[in-house]
Amino acid sequence: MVIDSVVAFFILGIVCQLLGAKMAFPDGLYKTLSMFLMIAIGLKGGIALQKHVDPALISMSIAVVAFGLLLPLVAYPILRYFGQLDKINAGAIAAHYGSVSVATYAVAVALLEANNIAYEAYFPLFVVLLEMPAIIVGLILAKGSFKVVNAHFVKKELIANQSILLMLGSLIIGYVGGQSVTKLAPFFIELFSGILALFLLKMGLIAGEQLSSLKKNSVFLISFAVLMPMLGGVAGTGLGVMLGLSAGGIALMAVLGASASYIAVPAAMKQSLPEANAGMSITASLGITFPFNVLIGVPFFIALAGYLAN
Amino acid sequence: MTNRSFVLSVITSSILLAFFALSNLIGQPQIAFVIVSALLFGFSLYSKLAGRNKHLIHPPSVTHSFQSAGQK
Repeated sequence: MVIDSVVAFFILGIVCQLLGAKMAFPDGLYKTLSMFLMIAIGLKGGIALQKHVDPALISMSIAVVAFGLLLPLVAYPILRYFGQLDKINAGAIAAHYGSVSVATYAVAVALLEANNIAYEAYFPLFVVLLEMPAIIVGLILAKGSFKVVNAHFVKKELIANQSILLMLGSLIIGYVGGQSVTKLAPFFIELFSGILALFLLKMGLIAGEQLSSLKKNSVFLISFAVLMPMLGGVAGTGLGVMLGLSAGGIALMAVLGASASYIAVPAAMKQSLPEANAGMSITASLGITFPFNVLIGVPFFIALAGYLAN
Repeated sequence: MTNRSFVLSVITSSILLAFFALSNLIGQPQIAFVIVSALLFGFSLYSKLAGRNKHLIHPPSVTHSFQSAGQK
């Protein structure tokens, strides 16, 4: 079995944490690395869009938003029935699983590029589009009312959202920048895999911390956090096939469906649902789903997409 | 651990095995699915048995018969 060298850094992070190695990783550096990844993903998409813009992008975007609305509606009844969670916590966790993880997407992109598998250039746009719908649905499910989606919420979570602004802004810069964007390539494009490896090392440390905090009675949380990426991944694969995407595109859509947010959604939930148990959501999405996706889910969905496209 | 959690763990373990079968079908078998399935099922079974044993070791709390009347 060959493990990608970038992914291997994630395993190294988990091992370091489980062995109790005191690894000082500055908080500011972690935030900078995540910003770098968002900008690099956006720029890559923008540069690729210069060559070709698909006219079917609008209908595809509508389908992707509908997909983002659907995923928390799948997660919510599982959380309520099998987990017997209250509406607040079920809504909050459902929002995490309907939204996307930029890091999981970055890993999938790195693996596709390492295997020379082409994918559609506009995917960063889909990542942006999938960030928000699940938060809105999760909040409505948690509160049982549409009133939570007010002007303040839209301004705070939609317009002033860091991930959305960085990725969408970089996508536009990459698209309108023309030839001048090539001078950014040595930093944002060529260093991508190295920076991602460093970021995954930190993610491994965090995931290891979350794993060790799992309590003995967390059978439900583990089962849910493994089940959801499989359901979301299969649904994403189906959507990719329906939209007529390439092998790389189907794989990325599956990965977007399988991933769970641990940056944008926790921040939104902290503001809008402070009574929800944030530890439970983070443990599930970052401690279980993220490692499952990086080590097992992403390679599987790439292989499945390749098989379906052929 | 509740019975519903146990049922979900069994469902998840079964789906993991189905994914392993699918990975075999597409020509890229991933044994990791079987490992995760076995770990999850083993862990849930252990939790269920441990919970049952704990329940048996501790004597039931003494309550007045009227308090539990009509609960079942």
